[in-house]
Amino acid sequence: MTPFRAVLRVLLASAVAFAISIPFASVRSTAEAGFTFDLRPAGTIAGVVAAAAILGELVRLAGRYLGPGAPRDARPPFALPAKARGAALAAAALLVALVPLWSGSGTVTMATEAMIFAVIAVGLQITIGMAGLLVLGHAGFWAVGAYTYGLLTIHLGWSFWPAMAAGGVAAAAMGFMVGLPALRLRGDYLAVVTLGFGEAVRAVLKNENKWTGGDANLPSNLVPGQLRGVQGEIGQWIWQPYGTPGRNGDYECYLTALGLLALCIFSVVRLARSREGRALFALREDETAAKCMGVDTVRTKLLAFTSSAMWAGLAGALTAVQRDSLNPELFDFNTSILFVAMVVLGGLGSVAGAVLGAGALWILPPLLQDWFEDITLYRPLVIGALMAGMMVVRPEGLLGSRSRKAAG
Amino acid sequence: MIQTLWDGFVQGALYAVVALGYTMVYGILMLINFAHGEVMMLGAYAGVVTLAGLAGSGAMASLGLPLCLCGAVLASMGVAACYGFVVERVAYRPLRGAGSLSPLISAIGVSIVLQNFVMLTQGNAPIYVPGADKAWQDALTGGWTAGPLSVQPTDALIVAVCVLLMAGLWLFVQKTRIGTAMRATSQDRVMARLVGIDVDRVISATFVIGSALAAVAGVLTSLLTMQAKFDMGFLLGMKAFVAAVLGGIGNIPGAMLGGLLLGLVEAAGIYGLRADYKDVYAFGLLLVVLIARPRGLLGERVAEKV
Amino acid sequence: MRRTWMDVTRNGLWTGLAAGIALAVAACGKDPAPAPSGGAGAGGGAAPASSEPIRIGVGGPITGPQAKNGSDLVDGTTMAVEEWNAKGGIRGRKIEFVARDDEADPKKAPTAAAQLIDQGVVGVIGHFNSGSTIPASKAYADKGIVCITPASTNEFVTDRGLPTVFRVCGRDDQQAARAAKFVAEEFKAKKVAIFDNRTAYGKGLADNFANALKGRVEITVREGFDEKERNFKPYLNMIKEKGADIWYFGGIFEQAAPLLIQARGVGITAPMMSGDGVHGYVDDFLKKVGEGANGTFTTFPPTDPAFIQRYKARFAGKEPGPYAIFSYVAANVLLHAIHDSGSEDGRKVAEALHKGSWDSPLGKIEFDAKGDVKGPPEGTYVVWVVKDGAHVVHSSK
Repeated sequence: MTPFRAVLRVLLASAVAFAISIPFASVRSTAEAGFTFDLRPAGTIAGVVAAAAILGELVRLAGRYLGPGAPRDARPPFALPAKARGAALAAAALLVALVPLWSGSGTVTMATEAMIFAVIAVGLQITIGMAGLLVLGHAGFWAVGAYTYGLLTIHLGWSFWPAMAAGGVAAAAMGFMVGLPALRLRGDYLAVVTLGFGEAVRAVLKNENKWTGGDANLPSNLVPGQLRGVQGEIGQWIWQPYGTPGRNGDYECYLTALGLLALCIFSVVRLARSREGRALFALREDETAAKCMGVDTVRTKLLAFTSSAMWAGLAGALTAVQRDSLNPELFDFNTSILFVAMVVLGGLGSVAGAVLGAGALWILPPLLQDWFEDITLYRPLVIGALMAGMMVVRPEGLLGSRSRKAAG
Repeated sequence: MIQTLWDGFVQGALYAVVALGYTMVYGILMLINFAHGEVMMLGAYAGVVTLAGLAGSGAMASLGLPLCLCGAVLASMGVAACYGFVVERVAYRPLRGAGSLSPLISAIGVSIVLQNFVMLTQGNAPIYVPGADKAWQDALTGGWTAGPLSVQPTDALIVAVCVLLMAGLWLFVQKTRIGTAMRATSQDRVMARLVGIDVDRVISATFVIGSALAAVAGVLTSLLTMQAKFDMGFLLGMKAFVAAVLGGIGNIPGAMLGGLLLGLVEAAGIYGLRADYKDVYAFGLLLVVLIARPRGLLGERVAEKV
Repeated sequence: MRRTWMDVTRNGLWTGLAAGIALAVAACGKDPAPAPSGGAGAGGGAAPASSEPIRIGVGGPITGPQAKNGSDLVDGTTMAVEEWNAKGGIRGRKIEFVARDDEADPKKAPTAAAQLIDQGVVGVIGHFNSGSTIPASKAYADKGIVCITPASTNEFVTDRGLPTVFRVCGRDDQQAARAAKFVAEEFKAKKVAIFDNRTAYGKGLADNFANALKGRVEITVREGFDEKERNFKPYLNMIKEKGADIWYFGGIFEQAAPLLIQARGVGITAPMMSGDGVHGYVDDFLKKVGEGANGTFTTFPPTDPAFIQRYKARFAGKEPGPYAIFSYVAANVLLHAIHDSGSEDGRKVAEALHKGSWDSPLGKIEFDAKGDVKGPPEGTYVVWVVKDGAHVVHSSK
């Protein structure tokens, strides 16, 4: 509690950081010139660690005053009557839907991407945040949805909506199948199995380009043209009246992504409030206890996997539309980690947190590039540090609901 | 065929040494130390930087290759042991008893941090074992040929060192006081504390030893590939974890057996099936083992602690 | 107050949507102030006040694993822009360029493209990797922005027929055809082994090479491995077992270096052949492999020594990467076309690019209907060989 100990901790942290970063930050060698030493980088690192430690102490302090997660029956301080809330939501959705009318077209692309990632993050919240099952291969489900969509539209000529639904179904089926061995596994084995699943999906996409590559002679890249099906489907009745050409389906993608995100948020929140949702949270807190209380763990785990994979699959279909081409390199392990980071940063179990996490990790770095040129260089480092630091300092994340176990 | 299997065996010996670190930590903490692969990478970097520096400053010419190699290995063991110790203190110890999810996520975070730390400080280009083209290279690439099999000195060195390390660790765990304490802690942490074992110290020792072993494996990997890169650790680490599960997690001979077996399976897959699915075989094997025999080849059946 | 209002199960919907709005508004808050009507370059083409500079973009791996190549892009463009500005710019207006980072990651390429689009660029020099150029160029084409890639050799980049997409480098099928011709007719190999790194670039190149060799030379090994693979001995055994007079690697220098070192280590003396991904990396390939690199063949267009001198003079003695010259040419051609077309509308500039013909350090640049440089079916590629630690032209037939 004493500030003295906090200061001591900060000093110790930076001293240790200085000492152990010397072999990498300060020592360099070449086979031509031998060793070169420079203590300054290690000093910089010590400074950065000191700053981070001070921040961590402040968060810890703030957490002490804010207290742990809310009691279950807490009402928001700005709670509105149900009718007013509905109206406010509708107005807000309309506002967001109209944003592209005055924003730059590149911005629309970025917002669409961020919303697609938000759908995936919210979906992933079901397995990681609610059920407490760590999934390290979520990009695999994303890929299944995207490629299902692409193959159906290109080779079988399906139109947008059915193909998108098929992408969701295919990913959900895959989630079910990955979930099956998970029933026998403890959480940490599961992480490695799902990691293996993600790698396997990527390997298949990379190596089997005979059927994923189409005519393009490019590994697993889909031929454009029919991917923009969404344009005809919804573009006609929304966008046409404005008579604005040259958008090439961006606005339609944006609207679809917005709709999908709203649907996703709505249904995941409903899920969280439902009996099944309670079972999921119970699973996270204590699997054995949940079982004893009559939670059907098999059903609940499969539900978590299937529904979370389905959202990734639907998002994948939209990704295929939006990008117009697919590449197996999109779905690598780093992408899966990025999804986990989005969930963790916002807070385990928090839907709003997942949306914020997706936005913060995807949109902020490129936006800050004007002020901080090398930001993309430091993005992964910051993500990693946030993941570890968040667990140590504030495990419930920015907006998460604190699990009893984490509270000690 | 025989040659490919031999190469798989060499790779498997490296998996086995890294797997030891996973299996020891998992045996005690029930935690997959995702950062272990990165610690191996740190060790590889420390070793290659030392070697290159020695070569560049002319020390290698005067001291000779074997001495320099020993120096590089010792340096990398020391650096990696420090990192293992600090990582446990900073990222895992505060989370002890916080459920199983938080430490896992923290471990992944640490792994990303370490990777990017090295990328930012040492550059994103790989660094090379020095003198790839000089007499130094000849010393490592001569080799012996017997029928269809040719063994390079690097291979022989790797296998010899790995066998020595595993035997040494086995003796350490069986014969020394701290080794006995480690076994006791992995059987029952609470009980071990009750009989007066300083559990925190044991856990720190486990991390230090596991990291030092991983560092040796890292340097040897670099000698095999002639290169070290910041992203070399993660996948190799994951495969080593698979090897640990394969042999029975928490079981030291099991980790060795699992590592060698995994190396052979991968080699057989490359030779007999499809080379481009190499990275998938390990995870397929993991799935098979987890379904068919969840305790691994040598593992004992343990009731899950509640 | 000991409670927060963020309990998910009660208010998730509310806060979720609030967050969504915040996100969308945040994204749009960064709209550039002088947003051209109807989105940047979206057919408007109304010339802004003449004092404003003409803006072009550079998209590529400024950071990340291929940052070295990204600096080629930036350096080449810098040289071209500086030369034009020294001549007084275009129509009395200065030229400036903005660079955006795709980290060589196909995931991030559309974001980088979107940002360049919102910066109101007329054209973009980039991107570097085929995997990034393909989605990014589609975004540019949709908005009528010119995209000239100096380095993406995958055929698909231009084969889509997007009217505003060009490239000044060659194509993988040209480069593979040149390599195949060399292997079959000049090197007169009987057996060839082919590896690739299973990326869009590496596999595309190796597949093209294999196709071009079909029926002419026996292909004994055709395998691929992951980009991150570094222990190549099991693959190299295949060469030893099945034999090859020459072996081909579709991939980049970072893997080629340990691959070649290990090949020499296990006693493979047959030469390696590779494409532009291995050519020209003096510090990172030639010096690292050392003597073992001698005899390695690569395909690359002939380069202009005068340009290298100019580059070194401008950048304090720095060795240019292989694609600096292409970036320079791409930027020059783009600026010429902006000049000739008398417009800052990307579509009109693209028309000028299709019509025009320019001399450059890479020879005459004329674009065909797809946006490739006109030339023979094997492009301008020649075969280079490593001799005493340097690339020299081996065969320019």
